[in-house]
Amino acid sequence: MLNRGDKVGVEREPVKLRGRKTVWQLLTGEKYIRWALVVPLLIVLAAFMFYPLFYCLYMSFQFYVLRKPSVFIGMENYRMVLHDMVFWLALGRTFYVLVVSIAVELALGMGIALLLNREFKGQNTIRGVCLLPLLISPLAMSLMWNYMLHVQFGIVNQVMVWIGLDRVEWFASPKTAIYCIMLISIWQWTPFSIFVILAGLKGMPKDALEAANVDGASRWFIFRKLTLPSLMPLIIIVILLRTMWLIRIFDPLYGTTRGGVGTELLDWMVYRIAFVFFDVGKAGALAIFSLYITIVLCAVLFRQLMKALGAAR
Amino acid sequence: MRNRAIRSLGVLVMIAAMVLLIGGQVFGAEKKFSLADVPPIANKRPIHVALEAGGAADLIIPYLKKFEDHTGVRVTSESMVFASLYSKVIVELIAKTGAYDLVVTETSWTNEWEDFLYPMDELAKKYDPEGVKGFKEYLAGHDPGLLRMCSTIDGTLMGIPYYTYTLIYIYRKDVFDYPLEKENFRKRYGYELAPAQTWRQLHDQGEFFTRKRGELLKGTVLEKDIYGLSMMAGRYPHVQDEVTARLWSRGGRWARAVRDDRGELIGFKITEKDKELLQWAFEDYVRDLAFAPPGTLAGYWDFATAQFVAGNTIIIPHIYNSLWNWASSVEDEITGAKAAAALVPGNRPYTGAFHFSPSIDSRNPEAAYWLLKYIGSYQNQKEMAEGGWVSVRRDVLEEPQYRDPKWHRQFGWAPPSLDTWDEQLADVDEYLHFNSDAFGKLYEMMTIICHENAIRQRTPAESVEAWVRTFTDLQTRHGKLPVLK
Repeated sequence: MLNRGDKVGVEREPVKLRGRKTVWQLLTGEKYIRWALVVPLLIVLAAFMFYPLFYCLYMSFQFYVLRKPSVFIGMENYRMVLHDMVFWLALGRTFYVLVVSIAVELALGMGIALLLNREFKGQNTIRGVCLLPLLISPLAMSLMWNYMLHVQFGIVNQVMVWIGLDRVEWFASPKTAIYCIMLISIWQWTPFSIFVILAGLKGMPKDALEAANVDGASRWFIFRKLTLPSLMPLIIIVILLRTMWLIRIFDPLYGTTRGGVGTELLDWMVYRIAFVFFDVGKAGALAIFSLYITIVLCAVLFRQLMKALGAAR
Repeated sequence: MRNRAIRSLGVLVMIAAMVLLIGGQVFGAEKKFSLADVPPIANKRPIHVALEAGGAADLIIPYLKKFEDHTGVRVTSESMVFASLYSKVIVELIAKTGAYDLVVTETSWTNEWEDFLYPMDELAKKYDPEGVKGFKEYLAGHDPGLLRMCSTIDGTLMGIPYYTYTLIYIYRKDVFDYPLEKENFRKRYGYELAPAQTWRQLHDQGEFFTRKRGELLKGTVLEKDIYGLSMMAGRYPHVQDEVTARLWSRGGRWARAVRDDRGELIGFKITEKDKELLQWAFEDYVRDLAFAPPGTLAGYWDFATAQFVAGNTIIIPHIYNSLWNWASSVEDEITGAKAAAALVPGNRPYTGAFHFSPSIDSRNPEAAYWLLKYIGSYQNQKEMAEGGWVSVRRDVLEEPQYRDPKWHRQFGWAPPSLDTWDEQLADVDEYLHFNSDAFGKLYEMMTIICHENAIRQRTPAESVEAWVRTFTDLQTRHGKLPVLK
């Protein structure tokens, strides 16, 4: 029987027993149960996220080249990084890759999502095929593209020869290599944009669209004034996630140029300094810098997301 | 009667001579160490071995099993591609995980890894009934230059070489011997067509054999474009071996080892002459790339060799002798083709080797010691070489029977390799590769600089500047010895 003030669906609190509660009672009590459930996750985060992060931060203030004792040097590693032209080139390239890749992925994602949003025969098969690149291991993907773009036996050059064009050494020139890296990333991640946007299109309220159609609005007008604004939160989520992932882009380089031919990006530079030179201090400073940039960018995007969500409501 | 006595005496003398001869062979021959000589090993803890993957490197695996069967010590192995070998192994060594009991060590990493490896003499003293003296006798069949490369700068041997990849020059002998080709070459360049001994000659040959579809080769119309030279200009360590071959051949050094009056190494220096020669090496390398097939700027040894085997190129001017088996298979692929090997122009190419070294954190150094002694033994190296392995033992390679044409496909690489080792011996002590304890890092940057020179991202002069800057920075940060002005 419910008493006055009891909430439906919530168990009634057991009658308080006299004396102190056992640990088990405390943990399973409403006050602490949420913390008890979260603690394992916090332990994992502390062990695998916070500890390495703070250790990396600590190391970034040390001169620590493996095999030599570490020495505290304050901000010297940061000063070195900021005075290193290679770092600025890598950072510039990373931003370039980031902006171009996200723009292309969103444009393609939007276009394909609009096409897939229609009813047609074999739509499930086509959607399934579109998803495939996301299911392939990124490293396998970069190796696959390395062969597909090979100047002698790659399928891309073969097709170019068939249509009367000259073969191109895609990974041999700084003019083309960076675009090949982008291509690999775009090819793999465009499906992500497609499906997020497609989900947004499917969830759009039909009545507003129908009203606009009835009023004789053009397709472009409907897209600009109705579709795009309502998809904006999802688009910002795609940008947010892809920004985080693209700053850490690594696999397309590992299977192809290995950072050569003017394709060294920020994360590859961290890898090279950490795992080839074992210059732990400098690599730590670079990694912290990379994290800082990611946090700043994501904070800006997150603000935009909140605004867009507010506008959508 | 008298004649009969003389005849009998003659027969007796002959028999005595034969007994002496055969007995001398049997009793006087040097005793070679073999698997049967490995004594019972007290420590039965399994051992784990790091190996290079791919190419002929996998041929070693059955021999690990043989050791296991003989000793009862389980041997497991982990193969990794050369590009990731250094990073993977050094992390385990530095972290003292003891993950590997034996590590495969490139000769140029020896100084850098010295703190993580057991000196061989120490193990011989501890585990070998024949002691250090017996171990030295065992090493007599190895090449002294390669042994120096497997040692630290103070001469402490840190492993036993088991596999070499000395650069040699491989060419299509059938094309070089074809009368019309010889005649055309003589007419055009004014000297005989023969394996190039200078870089100028190599350039001429590259130019001469680079032909378009429809032109003739050996009097036959070509159905595809062919190129003079197979090269390895991709962003892999091999590109720097090709540049190094040019630099060393003219007496240049990436950085010069500087010694004091007692002969002790006190630091490194890049002289103006070295910079000049390095710039020439970079320029010459780019010039030769004009005669290499498309794909070279991203390729390495597998690409270079495949081009040769497919008949797309006529010469691989600097390729590892470990690829001879594959390269010579052009004889199976192209009718009438004949492969031959010669010295690299200038005859100062990289003469690297892998050596097995026992990790200082091994939990079974006893078994590790015996395994590497077995792998580097005469009996084992001979057996493996006959199956296509690039043996590092001189006493195996110098066996006269292997000069017989029937061994051409297994041992065609051996004579130029031996000559290269002989020529190079005096210089090994001076090369940066075998003296700097920061060489693992320098190697990576050399690769990058050589590759960027090849793709013309930097001019040769800028490449020299980049090298001087990088060397000074890395040697100062990572090495024990200073860079001298």
